[in-house]
Amino acid sequence: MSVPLLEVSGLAVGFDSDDGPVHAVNDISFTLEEGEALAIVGESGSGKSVTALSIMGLVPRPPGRIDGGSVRFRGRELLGAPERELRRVRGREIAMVYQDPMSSLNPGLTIGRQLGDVISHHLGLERREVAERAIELLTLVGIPNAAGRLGDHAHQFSGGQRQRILIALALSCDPAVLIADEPTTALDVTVQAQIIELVKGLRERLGMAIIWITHDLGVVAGLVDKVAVMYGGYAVEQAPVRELFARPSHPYTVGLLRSLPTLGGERRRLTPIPGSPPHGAPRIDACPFAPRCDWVIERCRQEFPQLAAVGCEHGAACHRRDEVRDAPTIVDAAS
Amino acid sequence: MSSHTLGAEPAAEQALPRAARSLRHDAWRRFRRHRLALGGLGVLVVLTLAVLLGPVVLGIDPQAIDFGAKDEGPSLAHPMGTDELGRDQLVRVLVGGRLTLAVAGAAVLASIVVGVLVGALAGYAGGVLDNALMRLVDVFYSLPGLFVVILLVTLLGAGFVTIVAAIAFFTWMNTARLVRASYLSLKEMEYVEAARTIGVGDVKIAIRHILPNALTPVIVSATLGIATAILIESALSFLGLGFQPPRATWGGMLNESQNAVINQGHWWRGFFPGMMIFVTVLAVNYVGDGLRDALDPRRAER
Amino acid sequence: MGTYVIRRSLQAIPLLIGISIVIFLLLQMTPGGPLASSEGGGGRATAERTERLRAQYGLDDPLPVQYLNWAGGIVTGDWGTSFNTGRPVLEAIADRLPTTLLLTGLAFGVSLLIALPIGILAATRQYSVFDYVSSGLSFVGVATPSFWFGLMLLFLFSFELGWLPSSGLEDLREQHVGLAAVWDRMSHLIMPVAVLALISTAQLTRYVRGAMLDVLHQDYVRTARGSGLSERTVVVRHAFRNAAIPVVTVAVLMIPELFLGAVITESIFAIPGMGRLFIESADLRDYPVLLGILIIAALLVVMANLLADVLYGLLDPRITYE
Repeated sequence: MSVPLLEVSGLAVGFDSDDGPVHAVNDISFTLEEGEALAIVGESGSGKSVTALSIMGLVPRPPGRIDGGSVRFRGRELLGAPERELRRVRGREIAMVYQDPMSSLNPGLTIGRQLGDVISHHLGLERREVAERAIELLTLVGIPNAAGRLGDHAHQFSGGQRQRILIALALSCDPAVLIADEPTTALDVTVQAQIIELVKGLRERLGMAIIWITHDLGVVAGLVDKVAVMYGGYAVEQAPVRELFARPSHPYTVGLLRSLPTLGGERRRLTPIPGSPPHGAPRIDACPFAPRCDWVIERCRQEFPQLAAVGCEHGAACHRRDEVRDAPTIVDAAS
Repeated sequence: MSSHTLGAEPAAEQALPRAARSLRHDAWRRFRRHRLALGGLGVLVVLTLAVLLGPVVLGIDPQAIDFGAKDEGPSLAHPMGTDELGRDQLVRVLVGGRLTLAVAGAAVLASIVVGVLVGALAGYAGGVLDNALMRLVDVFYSLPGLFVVILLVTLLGAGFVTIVAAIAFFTWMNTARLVRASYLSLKEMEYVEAARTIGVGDVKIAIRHILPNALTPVIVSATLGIATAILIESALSFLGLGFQPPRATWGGMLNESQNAVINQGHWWRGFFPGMMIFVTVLAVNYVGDGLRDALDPRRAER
Repeated sequence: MGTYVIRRSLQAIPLLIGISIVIFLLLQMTPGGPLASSEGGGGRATAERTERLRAQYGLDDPLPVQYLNWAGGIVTGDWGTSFNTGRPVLEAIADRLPTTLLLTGLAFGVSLLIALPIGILAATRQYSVFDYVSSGLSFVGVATPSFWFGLMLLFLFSFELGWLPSSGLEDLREQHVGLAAVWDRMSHLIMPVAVLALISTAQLTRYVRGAMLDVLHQDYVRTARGSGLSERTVVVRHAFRNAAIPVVTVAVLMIPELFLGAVITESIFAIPGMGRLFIESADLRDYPVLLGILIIAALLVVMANLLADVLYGLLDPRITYE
């Protein structure tokens, strides 16, 4: 049995805050094979960004803490590995595209420099080759007149372009895994679509594995192979994408699907999920989603639901998982 | 605070919106958590009591000459030693503290009064007046502060009022800028609009409605201003330009001690007065820091 | 860029005019006006000399006329002559200026040399022992009166240990040559520079640390780290380069403060600089010299501000000037 490209098991991450410890991530597990695409979906505060940052070892400590679990890349343990080793992986094997393009690029350096630093650091090319590669990358992500723009600074590009540059930066050393943390959230809808198309195209050309983090379930259809839904720091449902859309087995997932607008089909009201996500120490004696759940029963408030199989490669953390799975859904399998 | 009842007038006439009052309560709680600031406050209280009551309690005359005990280092009888006239230094330090603190307090007060006047005027009136006053502030900022203070004191004589005025002359600008900024933003607020529409006069609005809120940032600045005032006055006295003997402040005592310390090795003559300045300024800085954090919780933890 | 500098320089002119007016007016504040107390008091003037001086300096003219005469002179290079020595003011100042500039320059250099590495290190090792100690020391340093510090240093190194001389700029008793001369000069400067640099170093260290912390928490530093760059590259090229911008600005603005602070240092260590000249002239009511020194100090402040602005514009690529 070959080793999965990336294997996250039981990851738990917490933060120390003025009001006590915050458990941002609790017991997350998933695997990623070569070329596979996974989406991590959840509201803000669900722990999805922290999960991604933890894989890269970018969670600031203090105030962050790794409370447990393991992250193996090609079999090597990343959690707690010395910085020296992590630096060899970052940017070279696992690269990240960050959420806010406006603040994620250094305003004081030219983008040619920023790209060049990474390329020459990892690939050790000569100056001319570094510049060539930078131009190649910028063209790849759709920046016109790349050669002429190497000397420009971040503020001379639009938001969408900056996001493309961040993608170029992430791809610069041909990483095996690309983690995209809500890369389209800060952008206009039209630009969003462009970026998504771009990443899809790049994935086909370059064949890297992708972890796509988003709060918008609608984005992931057609983009990824499997989905992990997070709530309150827990993984509440994990399934292949079509399976998730066809047979959602957790009330939260159902809620997410219901709040998506759909083209065609009958007219219906968009129903948001009432309430807000939990914050702080997890209660292990109850389901974290119980306060907002339509399907809640007594057991939900007394016993923590574990993630358990409800189908092929499909798990859900709900006491009524089978019922939810079998209930008719409003949304068809997404096209 | 109901805005649609017939009692609107009294509501608008409240000096402080309720939000501001509970903010102060919050701020006090946050301040209490700052251990260093609390420590500083404690030190200042002890110090003030010491300079006020110490000489009385000790019962020693600061001017009492005693050649039998001259030039003695610190001992049980004279914890801070004696000078060439045999005067007990501890008492002199305490008495000197009265003058030092008095000058600092008065200077800060004067500086705030001027600063608030200028800032309120500039911020509330706006337009040409604002511009002119801000140019004035710029000019003052560019003046070589210490030099001019030296000049003023030399020309006008080293009296209490002169020294206080000279120090205030160079520290009012910061307060003015803060107050102006507050006024610029506060005068656009709804409760001011409300007051105006029911006919409350401009001056009254400026004083009763906006001023209390505008003063909040000034609190920190004023506290730290005490430290600055002490340092300036001490520097002045150290240069020999401050109060003349027998009136002495800590800086003045340092000045007197120069010969004794450098050429005769009587270190205690300079150590203790300077230490008092140091401790006071340090304590004030801690308190100021604590206040700043308490009043503006949005500042990131550093 | 050039036009921006010119424009800002032109803007500084009204400011300088305003400053000169205020300075001029200040000096009129002596009860009785200039020279009034020099009769028999602080100066060597006799009644007739005073009369002569009054006529010579046009002190009986109305104030605005006096001001314009004086201001015109400043601009054309005629700064008047000292009441006290009769020498041209510019000469008297030129005598003392280099010394003060030397002190100021050295103190500035020392401040930078100490504050930059410590501030950066404290920021990169936030919450460490080093951070707490250095932050504590700088906080304490800012509260220390420089004259007290100087006095204690003098006691320790001059009186007790005898390692360093207590005053002046060089040994007046014998002429040294070669290495001994170098040490002679240096030993006279060590304590004065240390005293002058104390507060500015402490302030700058706190500021550098603050600026670096700000930058280190920015998203783009995380991007740089996330790309696997070495810590040194991240801190120096990506972080400090941006933190340097406000730091440089603040540092430049410290120069006038140092210049003024030299007054105290020169007093403690009996160094013949501009500060001492100012105090002496104030005592002697030597108005032309006083005015001259004040103008120089004000010029320094205005130029430092201008320099800080220009540097900021140069270093921050986001700022463009039309």
